[in-house]
Amino acid sequence: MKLILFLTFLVFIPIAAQASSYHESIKLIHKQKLYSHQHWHKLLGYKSQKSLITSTEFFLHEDGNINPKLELEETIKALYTPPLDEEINDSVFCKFPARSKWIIKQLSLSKNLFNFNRCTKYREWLTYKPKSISLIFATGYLENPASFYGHLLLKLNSGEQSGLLDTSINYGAIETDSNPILYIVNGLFGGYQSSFTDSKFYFQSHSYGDYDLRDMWEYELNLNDDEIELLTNHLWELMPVRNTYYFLNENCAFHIAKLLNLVITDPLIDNYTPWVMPLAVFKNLSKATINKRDAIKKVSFLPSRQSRFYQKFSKLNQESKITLSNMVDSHKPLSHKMYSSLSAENKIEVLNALFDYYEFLQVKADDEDKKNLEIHKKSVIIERFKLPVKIPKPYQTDTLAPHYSQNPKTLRLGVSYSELNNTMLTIRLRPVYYDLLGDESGRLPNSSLSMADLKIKLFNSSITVERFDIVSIHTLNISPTGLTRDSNYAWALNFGIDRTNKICRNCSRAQATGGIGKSYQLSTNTNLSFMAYASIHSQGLQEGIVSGKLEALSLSQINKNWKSLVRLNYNMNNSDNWIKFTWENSFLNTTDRDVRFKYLYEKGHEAVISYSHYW
Amino acid sequence: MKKSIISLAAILTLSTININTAQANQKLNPWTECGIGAMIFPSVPAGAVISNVIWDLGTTAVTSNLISPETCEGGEVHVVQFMKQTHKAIEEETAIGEGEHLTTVLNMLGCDSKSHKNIIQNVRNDYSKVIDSTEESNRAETLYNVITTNASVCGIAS
Repeated sequence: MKLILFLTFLVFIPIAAQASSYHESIKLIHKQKLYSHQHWHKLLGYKSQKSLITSTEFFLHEDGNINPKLELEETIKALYTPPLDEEINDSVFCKFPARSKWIIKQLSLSKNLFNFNRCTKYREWLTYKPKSISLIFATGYLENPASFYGHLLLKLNSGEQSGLLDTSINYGAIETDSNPILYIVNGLFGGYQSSFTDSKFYFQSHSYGDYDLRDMWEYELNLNDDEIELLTNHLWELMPVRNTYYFLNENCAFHIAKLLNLVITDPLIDNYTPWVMPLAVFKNLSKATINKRDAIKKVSFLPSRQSRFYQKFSKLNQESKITLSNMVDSHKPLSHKMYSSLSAENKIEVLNALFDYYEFLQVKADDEDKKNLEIHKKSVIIERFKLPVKIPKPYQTDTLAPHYSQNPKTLRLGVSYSELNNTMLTIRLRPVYYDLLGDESGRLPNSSLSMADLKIKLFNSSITVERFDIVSIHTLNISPTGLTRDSNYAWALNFGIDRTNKICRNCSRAQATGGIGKSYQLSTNTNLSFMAYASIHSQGLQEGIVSGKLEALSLSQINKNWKSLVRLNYNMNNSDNWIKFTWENSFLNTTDRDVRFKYLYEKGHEAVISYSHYW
Repeated sequence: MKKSIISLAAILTLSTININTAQANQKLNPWTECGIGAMIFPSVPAGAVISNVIWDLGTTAVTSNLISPETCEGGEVHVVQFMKQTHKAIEEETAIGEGEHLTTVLNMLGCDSKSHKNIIQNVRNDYSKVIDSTEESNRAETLYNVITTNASVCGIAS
């Protein structure tokens, strides 16, 4: 009896399915519906029912891009076809190690089925076993529309101290046009193919940090060895393939997030927005887990050449700062009497700062100017050799990492009281990105960037569109050093719909506006800017189609929770000239909210109090 | 007669071997003879990638019309690639006396970290004597030569 009971019990113990032949494997995948497994779909690059990968070589079956079952069957067939020695690198094991290992595990095939060390091309591609993987954020860049929102790339960390020789993985469009119109149209509407590419990290470090002068943030991911191996193997599979590039939603952020979703089940992109921003990936990453571990292990700041110079300059004592300022204005910097009177230690600090100064000036210099800058730099280097070795202090930052920045989408609800209209409800909806009064973590300071920014007013059940900015960019370009050559023009660009003035009726017009000016840092927390604007617009009232304005603007960070902006405009058009005064304040300024108070005078007084939600 | 012919054949054979050996041992200058000078390091239009060929430098063998695979692979070529891109940083760090680019190039040359301080001091001394008379276009290669000479006691440089 006991024996019968025991044998009956055995029948119901689940036995791990194990395939020992091709036919058994095929039976098993059908039984388990392995071809429907989410992981298999991810490995094939599927989005909904079709793969985004356009390269036919990625699929073993001709319909592999639309039929995961056929692709799985064909892959298994290849696994059971022992490759010839001379074709080993073209075998499914070597071309698709992530797929192969996953199938081997799912079907409990023998781990000795294939020795992956025989894949010599793979081993030439990656000559070390990564200890960890980092996701790197290159901050936004207003000089190129494709870079407004930043960029991200991966680094496969060898564990060596500097990481300059680590393999870094980039993603982007291939063979783009130099014609800006074609570049924009093809980038937006799928006119380019895109792919992953690899290089040594020093290339990126130089390109972004020294040439574009963009800071980078390195997010080291909290991955175990198996997860690192899976991502690295899948990257190898993806290196030769192509996708169609769409700047807004199938861009670097999308594809790298898709790759990381092999090991991170939490969503890394926002599914309900029609675009994908690099910042969103980092914000979601900061909330994500990998098998119950926080997804992020460590965040490091990689300052640009410009940031390094600014810090070195700020750390100089007052005498050294003045000396450096005088030196850079002199034809023979080292002959300046103030330099010769510095102590050796102060000389070293000034010279170290000048290395960065002369280098970052060369980025925007013309050829003639570059030659002169190089001559000065050479003399500074020669001088530095005469002084003893002194190890500089490491760079320190108190800037918050990008994932702490204010969320990019804004909904602002407010109540306005004006002399003319009494009480009105104001609504502002801005899908991206930030304004001058927003928190600056992870962003270009003293700048604003927005797209599809809509402001409406509701009064007595009528809706007035105050303003709709299709694109609006404004950068004050403030130099923290005050050095003669460390300054650029402040500039602004804006096009969309606005109104002639605050109080007019039926005066909406399409407009395009450009502005240029200069900004000055009055103190650590206060800036002053002077701008001149010119607009062309459709006929609103009787103001003609061209108008202009002059502006004085002061921006102050009063304290940690209070930022204030004062703006004085003198507006001019064909039929009228008038003053507009704005005093606007933001309070709290956290990642997801702030409170604003604005007083405005433009042909009448108005005060607005509003609450902003950022998400 | 027979002995003379054999001796002559032996001499000729040995000479041929010597010539081949001499050619094989003739040191290529990877700075100028492995096509690296022809490579362009483009600026990166941010958010875009230029091409696989240009980007795919550091992890595969350098490709160029000038390259002979058996002579242009190996650690020195990678050092030159690295220095072509980062020589300004290495020069600054040499003047300062320390830095990650300098450390990296010495590691690439097989120098143990304990030897770095002395080597850097020697590089500093030697380079400071020649920088003034070196044209800007040659500074990177001059720095390379000074570093590899001083690092010849380490692994790769010879």
